[in-house]
Amino acid sequence: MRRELVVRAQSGDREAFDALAAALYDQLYAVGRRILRNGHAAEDAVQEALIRGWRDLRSLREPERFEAWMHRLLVRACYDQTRRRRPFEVTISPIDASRSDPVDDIAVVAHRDELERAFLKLSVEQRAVLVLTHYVGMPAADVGHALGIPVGTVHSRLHYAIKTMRTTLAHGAPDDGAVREFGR
Amino acid sequence: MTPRTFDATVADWLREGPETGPRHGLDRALAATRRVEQRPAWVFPRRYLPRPLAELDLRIPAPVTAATVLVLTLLLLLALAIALGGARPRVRLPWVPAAERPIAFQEGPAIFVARLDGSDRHRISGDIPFAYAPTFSPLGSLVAFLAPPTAAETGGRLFVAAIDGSAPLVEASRGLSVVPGQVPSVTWSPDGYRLAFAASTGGVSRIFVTAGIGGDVVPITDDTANADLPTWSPDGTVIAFRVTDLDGVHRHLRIVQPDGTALETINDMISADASFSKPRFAPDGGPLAYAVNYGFGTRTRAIIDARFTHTAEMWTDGIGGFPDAGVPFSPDGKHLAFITATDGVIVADDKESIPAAGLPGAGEYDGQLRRLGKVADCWIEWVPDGKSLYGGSPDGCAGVVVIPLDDPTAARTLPTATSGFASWQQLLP
Repeated sequence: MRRELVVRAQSGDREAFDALAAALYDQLYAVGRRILRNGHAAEDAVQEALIRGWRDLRSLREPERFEAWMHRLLVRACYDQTRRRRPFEVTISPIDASRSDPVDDIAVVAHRDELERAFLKLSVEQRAVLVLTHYVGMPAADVGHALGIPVGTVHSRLHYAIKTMRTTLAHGAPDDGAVREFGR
Repeated sequence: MTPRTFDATVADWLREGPETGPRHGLDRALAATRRVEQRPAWVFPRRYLPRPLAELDLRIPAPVTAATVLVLTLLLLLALAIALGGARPRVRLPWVPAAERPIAFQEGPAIFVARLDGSDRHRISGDIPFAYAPTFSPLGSLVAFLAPPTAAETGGRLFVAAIDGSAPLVEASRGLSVVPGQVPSVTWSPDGYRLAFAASTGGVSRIFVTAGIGGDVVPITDDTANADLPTWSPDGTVIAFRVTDLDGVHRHLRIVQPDGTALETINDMISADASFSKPRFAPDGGPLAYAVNYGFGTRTRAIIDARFTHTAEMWTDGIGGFPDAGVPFSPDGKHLAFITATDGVIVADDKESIPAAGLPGAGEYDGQLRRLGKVADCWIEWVPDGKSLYGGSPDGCAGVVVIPLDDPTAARTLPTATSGFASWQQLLP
């Protein structure tokens, strides 16, 4: 079904492309947001990827690889976003006062904070490999195909990304281990 | 922890967050694709550069090419004319560099977080009736603040709030009450997992450290002297604080490890009217800066202290505002800022006089002092980008003012903050 939509979109059928975009939009946004750590930047990256997708769709020779191809366009758009934007932005949402178990929740926020800090130490190329591998669940070969890099480079980036995060977390570890245990 | 477990931790963390895009994101994205024609007869080259150049060459009519060259030539000439003929001065945007980061501030009896333009503004102090003195955690997702019994008092219980609303308020002081004072006796650990604060038990003010946030609190100073104004060192190894013996005459500036061991004295004085300010560490954790009054009617002065080896006095003619607030280092460690009694805000610049730890002896400060004028009162801090200061507004600290260093006359008061201390979210390292 998706292959048929891709073929129709390649022949200029806009409704077919709209259907493909609607099916993929949330997935692309989730990946972009995880790479860029910023909702606005992720939205821009997905929009840019869809524009490139519609514009260059006829160059896609294997319609069944449409999804991997869109991920490739998205990651490239994420690279562009990191070059355009300042490295740090924060989005704030209202407080939800109805939550319970406050101490654990605050500890989780602190954990997230530190993972965020370690993740931001990575290059955007390393982030992309990490997200496609651990969030999307792509095998290394598919990640390599999506990013246009050899499988060996995928493994290398993954290794150094994890190593950098572990080093960052271990370096900033508290001395009593009161609220966390990862990073050691 | 094994690598596999760590991978799983990262994967779990990556799975957090929204799985769906913004509500109208798809509509906007598809609308954007409609502005792009597929295989057009002629297109502006910038947008279609990825297409095969040979194909583009075939599709661009010669008259259009000539017109494009003409337009580009005219634009080039116009740009040259502006550059050579004198362009109009650019509009100054004095605090744009850090403007995208939120600031936590007091508005009335509550704590709010917002961007500088007032957007994303929301209350984080919940239903607590009185709250003041917000302080961002070093990693930027949490804010600690104090809640006194009444709006007219200081000190009080210590709370922590998550700015993204992902956790409810936590009382970190666990029933203790932070000692009152013009300057809050609270400090974050640099890893953002713990807090140190001064609280009174049995009539003596002691320094307490939390185990985690909202966990147990443990005293790290004894009850033989009053201790307050703690500051955690940037490397997390020690906490500096001031001490007044129970006789009210002997005063000290000390450091101690977060577990209460290895207590050392930085400076001593003997005078009933002497005082130390809150000590401030340089970003590299070496020198300390503070205001000191030796007593006997002398004026408060600002000094930098390389801890046991070298001190230099930057200013000896009286410290203004809240003297207890101390002398903060800039984010790059090359400058210090303080409010004077008579000369407004002063920034002390680099040179060798901001000492590297280990320089022997003591001496006069011979670096440059920049007088910014009476642009702030009560307290002053550095904006995280190091290009501006922010502090209490000069009209009696009724608001929060932001002062660009390169043009202090362009200082502006924040639109929403009303009083008290504010805290700017730090840049993640």
